[in-house]
Amino acid sequence: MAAESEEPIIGSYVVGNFPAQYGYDQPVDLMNGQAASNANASNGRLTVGGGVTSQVDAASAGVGAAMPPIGSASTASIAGAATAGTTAMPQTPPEEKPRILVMGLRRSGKSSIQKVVFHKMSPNETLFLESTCKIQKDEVSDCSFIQFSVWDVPGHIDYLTDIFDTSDTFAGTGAIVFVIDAQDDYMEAIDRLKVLVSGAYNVNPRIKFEVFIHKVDGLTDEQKIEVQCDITQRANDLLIDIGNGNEVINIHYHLTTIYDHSIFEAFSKVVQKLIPHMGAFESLLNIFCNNSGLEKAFLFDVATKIYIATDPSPVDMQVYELCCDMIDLVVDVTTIYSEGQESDELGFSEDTCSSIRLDNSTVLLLRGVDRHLALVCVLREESMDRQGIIEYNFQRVRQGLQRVLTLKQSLSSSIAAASDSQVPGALKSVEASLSNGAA
Amino acid sequence: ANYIWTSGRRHEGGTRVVHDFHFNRSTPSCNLYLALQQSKSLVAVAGRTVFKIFRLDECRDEPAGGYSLSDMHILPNNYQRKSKQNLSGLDTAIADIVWSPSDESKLAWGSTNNKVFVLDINKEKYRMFQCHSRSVNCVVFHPSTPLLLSSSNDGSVFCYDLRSPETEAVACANFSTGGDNAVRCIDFSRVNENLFATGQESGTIQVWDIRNTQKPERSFHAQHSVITCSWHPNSQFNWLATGCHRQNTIGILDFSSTHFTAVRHLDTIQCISPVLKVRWRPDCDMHIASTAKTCDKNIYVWDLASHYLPDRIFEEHTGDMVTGFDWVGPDWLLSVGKDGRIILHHYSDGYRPADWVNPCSLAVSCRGSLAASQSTKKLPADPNVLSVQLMQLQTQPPPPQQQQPALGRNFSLTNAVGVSGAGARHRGSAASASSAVTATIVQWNRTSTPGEYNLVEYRCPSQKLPLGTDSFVHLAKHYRLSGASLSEVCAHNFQLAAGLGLDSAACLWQLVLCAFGVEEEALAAASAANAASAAEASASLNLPEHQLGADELAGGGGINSASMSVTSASASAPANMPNSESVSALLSLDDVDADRRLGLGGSTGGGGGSAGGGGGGSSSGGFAFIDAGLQSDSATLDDDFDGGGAGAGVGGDTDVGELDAASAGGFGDASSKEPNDYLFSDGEPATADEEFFADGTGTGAAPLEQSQLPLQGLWQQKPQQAQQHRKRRQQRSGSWQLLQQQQQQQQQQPPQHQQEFLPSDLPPLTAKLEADLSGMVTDAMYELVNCGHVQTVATACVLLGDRLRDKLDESVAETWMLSYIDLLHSHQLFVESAALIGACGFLPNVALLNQQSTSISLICAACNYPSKQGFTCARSLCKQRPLLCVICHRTVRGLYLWSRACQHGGHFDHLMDWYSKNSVCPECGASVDFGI
Repeated sequence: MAAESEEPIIGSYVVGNFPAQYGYDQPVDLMNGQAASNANASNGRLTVGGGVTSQVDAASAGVGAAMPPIGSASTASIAGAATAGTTAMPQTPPEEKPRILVMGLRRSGKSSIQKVVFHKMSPNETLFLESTCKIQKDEVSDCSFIQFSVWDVPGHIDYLTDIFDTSDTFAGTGAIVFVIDAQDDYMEAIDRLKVLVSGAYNVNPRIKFEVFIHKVDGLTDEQKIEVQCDITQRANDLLIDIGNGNEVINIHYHLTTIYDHSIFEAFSKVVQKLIPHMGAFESLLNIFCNNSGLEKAFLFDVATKIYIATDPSPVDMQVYELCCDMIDLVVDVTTIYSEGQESDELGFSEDTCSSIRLDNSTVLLLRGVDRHLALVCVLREESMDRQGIIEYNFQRVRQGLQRVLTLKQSLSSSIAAASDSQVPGALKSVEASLSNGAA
Repeated sequence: ANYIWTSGRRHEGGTRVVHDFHFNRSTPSCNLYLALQQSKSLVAVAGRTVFKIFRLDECRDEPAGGYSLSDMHILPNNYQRKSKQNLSGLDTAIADIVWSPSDESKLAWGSTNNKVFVLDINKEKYRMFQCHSRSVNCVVFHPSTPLLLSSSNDGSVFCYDLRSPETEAVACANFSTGGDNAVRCIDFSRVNENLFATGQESGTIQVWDIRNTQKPERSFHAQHSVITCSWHPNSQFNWLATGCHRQNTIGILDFSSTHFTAVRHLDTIQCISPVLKVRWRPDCDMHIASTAKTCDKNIYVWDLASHYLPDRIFEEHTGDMVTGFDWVGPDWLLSVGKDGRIILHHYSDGYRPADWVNPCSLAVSCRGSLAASQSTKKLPADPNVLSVQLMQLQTQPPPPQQQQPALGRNFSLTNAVGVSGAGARHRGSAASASSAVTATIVQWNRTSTPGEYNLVEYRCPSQKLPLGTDSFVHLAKHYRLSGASLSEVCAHNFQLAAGLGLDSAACLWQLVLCAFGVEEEALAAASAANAASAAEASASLNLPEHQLGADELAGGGGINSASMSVTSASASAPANMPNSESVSALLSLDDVDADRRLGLGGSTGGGGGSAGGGGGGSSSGGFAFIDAGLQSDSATLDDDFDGGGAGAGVGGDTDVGELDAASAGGFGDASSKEPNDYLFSDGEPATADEEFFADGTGTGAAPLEQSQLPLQGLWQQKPQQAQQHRKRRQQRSGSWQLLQQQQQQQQQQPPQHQQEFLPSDLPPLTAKLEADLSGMVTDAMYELVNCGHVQTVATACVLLGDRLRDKLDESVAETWMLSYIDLLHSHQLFVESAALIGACGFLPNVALLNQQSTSISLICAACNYPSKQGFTCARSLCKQRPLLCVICHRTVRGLYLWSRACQHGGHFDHLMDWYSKNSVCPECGASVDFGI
């Protein structure tokens, strides 16, 4: 029975379907076992007892030196499955999405980040979240580009020696986000970071490490700089001996808090690093901006309000917040008034469009690109005179974006090089087709 | 048409539009970038639809001077023809453009489609490099060698060698900046031309040696995001200015430290809007110009010496953002904006915000008075007129005071309106005074007896001290180091110093008195208040009934509650009397809202009354404002400078005079009331209170009357309601009685309450106050020591002891103390010196001086073994009897005289006799020297 129920469900988990270019070679029983137990519990096909037995098997297959009690482990898996179950994963063949792991010490704010960014919880409500003191895995898969896998790993569990199989975990991971509580004593977190980085680096040297210095809302600007300098310094001192030879492990640091948009922006930065052909997106948006007289253009992932690309000019936090709010507004309206949609659908499509005129002679334009993506532009009121040109250019850009997207999705390791050469071609055709209104 | 009108002023100095690209609706605006040759002869302006090179000629014939722009036609045609053929690069926006400083014919730019171009305008040839994978942000030439650096959004920095064969289109070096954070800016150091700095959007600044591509020389996190950086053009200053567009700040970093990794953060300029670009002004080391990225169309020039206001603002770009600018010379600034205009600015035409700032200042004198001066009208922008006039103070006649409280010091508010200017003490207004400024000086003045008023004295303290040996000895002998209370000692010492004409020393004493005398009084007041709050706390057992009563009472709303707090505050004015304090607490119980506030006020002591007053003030309008003033007056009763500060805020308002009258009059009344009169002795609170308020209005000053009117109505209303709800009233009167009992208990046993509550928390206001003023005290100490008068400072240090620990370095205090002790020794004032050392408990090194060289180690005369106890030899083998006289060989009783050299001694008489004739030891023949 267990084997039957495993088969179709593994696919929905990140464990079994690493993209080939991330160097995944063989599945490991342990992770499959865990995934199976999660999936079983979520599907309710197995009794709880069955879940426990499979968990025991998994534990015995692992190192098992400092195992948490079996009971707690099984509840952990059930808890994880419960949240995974709510996200209603479609059982479609997997897309090749890079995966992001969110890790950190207990009470550093991972669950809050997860709830705020992916589940639209209001930041104030996160106060009432219970602390997840057990390992909890949550897959967020309704984002079009990135597969998020949030792992709450408490401090007493060693990532590398306990029940995790590191090679398996890290091989398919694009980036690891390590959350550090800036208001707490972060020495232990830095030590833990070192262990994590060295372990993950040995398995997969291409993992990007991002450190979120979290909960900075309670700090003044000076303190923020101070904390970031201090953490950077300490972490770099610790990490300097991990890289072999000349190779230096680069870790990026972000100051984040769930009480403003910095957490979204930090995630945006992380995601952008994982997207192939980022330059192509950027160029497209740049061409679009230049030809249509736009101040700023963002390509948003609607569900998470993460911007996947923007034009090269520096991002202003206020503008970004404005665009986020606009997306919230549009999504809210569409979910309320769209008819016949399923409740978990966003009601967002490539036909969605909206424009908001602000009283400071700024106009916000939103155009859907596909089910997950939206293009949000900021422009001056004067530029709206040429709305026809903007519309025409947008159609062209959307075609270009979709071409790049299909390129990316049909990408596999064998033809990666070929597709790289296709992107500029796609760009050029879009560029040539754009009208700048001068003609 | 070349002149611009801004803010109604005509720019005649030479600021003018030198070129206009005429952007309009059909040709939308775009970011324009400007590059100026080092020789200032050619200007390149580039954007999405624009690429032009101008010749910049100096206008020698025009009186205003300046420069004129003329097109260079040779280039653009040729270039554009080529670009149409095989360059798609020009169609996309140019991100940055720069002239080569070493070869003036070379021009480089980076474009947002990842390419870098180098153009030789003489050969009309260009080279293209495509190394970046994302948009190029910045291009920069090496100062002397033909190397080009470019940075990009993909986080890479490439170096191109322009000496390489022209067909080659690859970079010669790639600097691994670490990761893919966008690198926004590069600039070469003026100190060492091999060094350059890169600024990343993540806020990291890296300093590279161009010969080492592997690892930056320095890498550190500076700001939230660095978007522009610029090294100081003067190589004497190894400074880097960085602009942050997230925080709207410009940071100045100092790299001149010899320590390798240390980078000193010199300064941060807070701008109004996100910074886009910064450029140092040539030949003016402290000036830096900045433009904004959004929201702001001006160019600002900041002066590092006073960076709270921009030194100049150039606001000629009215259409859109300024996207590029450069200094043509120290006086000329060339800028280009998204509006398509190239404008040449003359420095003197910039708008000077400082001209339009109202001068105002605030100063606390050592005598406990606080002066605020403020101009009452807008100044004409004429900075050249600077006249300083002598201060004339008009004092109002002292308000009548009927009764002086026994312990509490009375404060009167005198309102002095005079013609300002400034004395030396009045620093702020001395700096900013220009033409005639009317100043309002509000002074809180402390008097010990009625009718005696100290006026603010603006005397310059830097006079030479008439310091002589006589006064030194006199002071040393009569300065008191301890006493019953700090204030008493300070007062004594102040009299002493003032008597000798040592004004500065006297000032210090008064300052110490102000700063720390307060603390003691506040402590006493706090204990009284705590006792009161104890009564309140126990009364709160009956809180339900009280809240019922409060419902009735609070019907009047916010104003009533505020005026309630007025009366309670004025009732609490004689803070030394615990009864009145408890009354204030009791009254405060009547109002649910005021309850918490005044409870707080009561618990934070006499000075804390101002906190309650502040709370009351925030709840309602005009009344509460006066109320706050009143309360701060009663707060200054305890020398509360914080309350004084609040009062200063009031003083800024126009009706200081009213306030002053109100406080003075009302205050006198309140203090004149005997608290027990209106306590609820008859068990019928309503009538008792009515009586009280009738009294209060009968004798009170007009504003106070006003404030009491609604209250009176309220209290009159109360009995009616009480009749209707008799039962409730009974409950309430029961609780009154209970409270009254509490009070009586408290009256009977005030010392116990004080002891009980003394150790509890000090009022936070007072703690803050101490921190503030102790800084002034130490400043004054330093000043006095620099004048050469260490005596008073050292004495004050001893007196204050640990209280200055935070502010004063221990080693400094030690130095002062030791030099004073040295002085005392040289005047042979050993007794005073010993007393001083004895009082120096807080400085261990000094305190130990009295114990140094006071113990003598003894050696047994027979066997040279150290003695253990007294003169007894510690060695058991030694059978020598102790204290043997070398003359008579008997054990000495009484005085024993011995030589420390050979340990031989004996009876005093014998040895004195011997040594009067001989100079060697009778036993061993060692020579003995009696010289001291």
